[in-house]
Amino acid sequence: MWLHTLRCHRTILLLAAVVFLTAALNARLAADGPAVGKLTSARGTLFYRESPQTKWQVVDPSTEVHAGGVLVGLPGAVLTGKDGAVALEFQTDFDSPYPVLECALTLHRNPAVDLDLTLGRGRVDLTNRKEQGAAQVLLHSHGETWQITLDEPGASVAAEVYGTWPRGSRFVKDPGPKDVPQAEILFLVLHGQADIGFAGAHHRLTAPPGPALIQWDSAFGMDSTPQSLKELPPWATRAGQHRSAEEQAKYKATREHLIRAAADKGMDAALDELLNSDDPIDRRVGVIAAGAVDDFPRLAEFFQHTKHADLIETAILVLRHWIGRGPGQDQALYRGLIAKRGFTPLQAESMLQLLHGFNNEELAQPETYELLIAYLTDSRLAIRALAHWHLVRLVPAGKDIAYNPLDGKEALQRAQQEWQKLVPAGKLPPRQKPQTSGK
Amino acid sequence: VSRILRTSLLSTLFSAALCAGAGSPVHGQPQQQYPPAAPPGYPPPPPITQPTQQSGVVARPTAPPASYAPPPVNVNQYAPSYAPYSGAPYGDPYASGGLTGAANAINAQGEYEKQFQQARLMNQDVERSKIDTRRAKIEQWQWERNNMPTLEDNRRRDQYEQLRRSVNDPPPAEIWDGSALNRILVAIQQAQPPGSPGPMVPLAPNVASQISLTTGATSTGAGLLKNGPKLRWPYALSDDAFDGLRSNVNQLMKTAYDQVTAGEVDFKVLRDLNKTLDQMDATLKAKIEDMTPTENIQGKRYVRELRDTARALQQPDAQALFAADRSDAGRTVGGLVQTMTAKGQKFAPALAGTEPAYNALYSGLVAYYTELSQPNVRAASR
Repeated sequence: MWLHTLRCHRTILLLAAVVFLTAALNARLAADGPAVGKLTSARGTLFYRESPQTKWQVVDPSTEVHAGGVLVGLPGAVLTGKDGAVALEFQTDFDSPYPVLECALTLHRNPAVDLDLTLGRGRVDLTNRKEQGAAQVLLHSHGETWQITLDEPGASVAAEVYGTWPRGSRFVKDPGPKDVPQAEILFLVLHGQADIGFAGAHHRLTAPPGPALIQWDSAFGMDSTPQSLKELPPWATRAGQHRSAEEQAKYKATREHLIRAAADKGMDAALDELLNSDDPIDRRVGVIAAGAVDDFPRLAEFFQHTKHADLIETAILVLRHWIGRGPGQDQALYRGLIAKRGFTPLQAESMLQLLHGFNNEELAQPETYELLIAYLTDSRLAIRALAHWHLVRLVPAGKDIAYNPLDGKEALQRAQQEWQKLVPAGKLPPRQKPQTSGK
Repeated sequence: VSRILRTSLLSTLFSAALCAGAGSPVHGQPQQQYPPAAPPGYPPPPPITQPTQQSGVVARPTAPPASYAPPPVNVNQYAPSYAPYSGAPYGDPYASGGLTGAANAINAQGEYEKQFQQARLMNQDVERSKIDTRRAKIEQWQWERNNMPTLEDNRRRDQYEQLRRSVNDPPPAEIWDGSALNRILVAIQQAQPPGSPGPMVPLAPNVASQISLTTGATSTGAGLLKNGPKLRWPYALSDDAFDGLRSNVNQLMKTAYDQVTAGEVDFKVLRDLNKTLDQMDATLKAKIEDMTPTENIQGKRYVRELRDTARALQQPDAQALFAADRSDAGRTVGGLVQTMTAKGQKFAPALAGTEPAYNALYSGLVAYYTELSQPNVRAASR
């Protein structure tokens, strides 16, 4: 009897502990110190993760966002800072000349300013929402800090951070201090006036027409003077998107679908729905979203069974963005491929080398093109796809050669023969003749 | 009254005929002479067939008979509204009939004569136009010859464009395959007077020794045997699978090197060398999935350079080629250019690992050429 009572008590205690832990986990966003921000857009537009080991959670509009962790937002996600003084809008940027896909950031507690954040990657639009007076934002990225003063109500600045491996940089298993991707940040005034402070110097910027753009990069530091623009660049206003009206409508519908599915079923289920969709735009957004939340196991699993070659191009783009986010990303992918995907070190190194690309010495050798063409029939899908990805960019004349890395061996060999005709062994691709003046 | 009128009319016609006969008709202006103007207050004369403007021929009325007395002149000043000739009730011989026909015949004859002359004039115009066209053609041809670029102009312009591309930061591949260096070399040789010292542009000590040269008649240099028979194998070909092949190539290359230094390379040595290189290529192809892309590229490149070396050894002037490529042509760009000009040498493609030396030489050649071609600009910049 006492044993039964004891078991009952233990069960109750266990249930209580589970309920308490679940409640604690759910309320974590609201219980970690004072709030530093609040989501003002719909549920499903913003995701939060405390650390790489924890799962992504959907941020609820009623929940205040606290310092720490990583926030990834869909386009249209809007956070307001302390007292609503600054609005922070997450933006995606598929069509700008800069290698930016998604936006991720971390908020910090700092009573001295209206908003304090570390922008990991992507673009945010910061807007002064005060009734009157200037708003102060402290922005950190890649070990540097910028003070942004939004001078008057309505003043708005776009901040965009991206990292990329310089052309010709190679993957090395034991990287030195120079083996890091190059980081770049730009500030563009969208409305009103703003002051950008960096390392003791201040730059006065105004919306176009006027000095509206200033950039920093990890190799050369901050621009000495801002660039004057007559008008906002097309990428900043979405006017430069190379999409038809139907495509834009479809992207919008996909975004709405992702938001609803994430809000109702969670991020994992939402990603599964997109990746298994029959629509290429759904699948493309799914691949980009999976990369944004670092869900490579799901992507790898998906690619083992996919019949859609269009996604492989997007996946290569996402992976190249991923390894360019910051130092050590390529090493993390290398280790992940070996530990989680069963790649041999040689295979993982080959994959990383192809993701990085080729340096000038290699591009000047016929053997590089010979190897890429040989890889077109490689037994490994990733290697085949990456080889073709490079070939069509290095030899644009081969774009018309039909090639699908998911095809059978005979079709792959036919495409390989076409490429061998275009770039014979031992030869460099034909280069464009220099243009003579007066013709 | 009617008699008076008839007399007056005949008198007027007669006077007109006399006036017409007194002078030759003026072409284009017959109306000014005939018929004569009526006196003031006198009714206008009856209509008479007029000559056309084209012919200029004037009908001349026949003179009246001598017995015909002219009517007295109207001095009574009849009212101007009086029209004595309306209806021509007297059968006026001058209003129609034989004289008019004769005038028409004469007129037609004149018309024919004129058209004939006009046709001749037009023929002359055609001939003149032909001459003008021919002259214009000749002038156009002369203008084109003087102003349009010739084939030689086009060739020189292409050369200039290529030189400009070579001097202004060309793609690295064009530096390393020697093409950009050779274009600048030719430009320097054309711009620099023979025997003149030229600008002073130093080269780093080990640059010239790493540059491969050809005799000028070949496209490659001595290749991997440039600095002796010892080969430096890349990491990619150091694998166990290549052990035997490496050993064979080492031995054959040493033999070939000794032979080319002394004279000619034995055919069997070259045949065995090419066979071994074929096997090396096949092994590289078979091991494509066991090597990283970088290793594979390095391995295949080294085998290609070995093949180029074997090809150089097969050439009839192999000994001269190897002798030429061994020369260390000084420590200045000027010294290197002078040596190469004297021997007619060209730059050969870079071997693996010598790309930095080619980059350094490229910078030196551009500086040398710039100073040579634009001394004032360089002096001002200093």
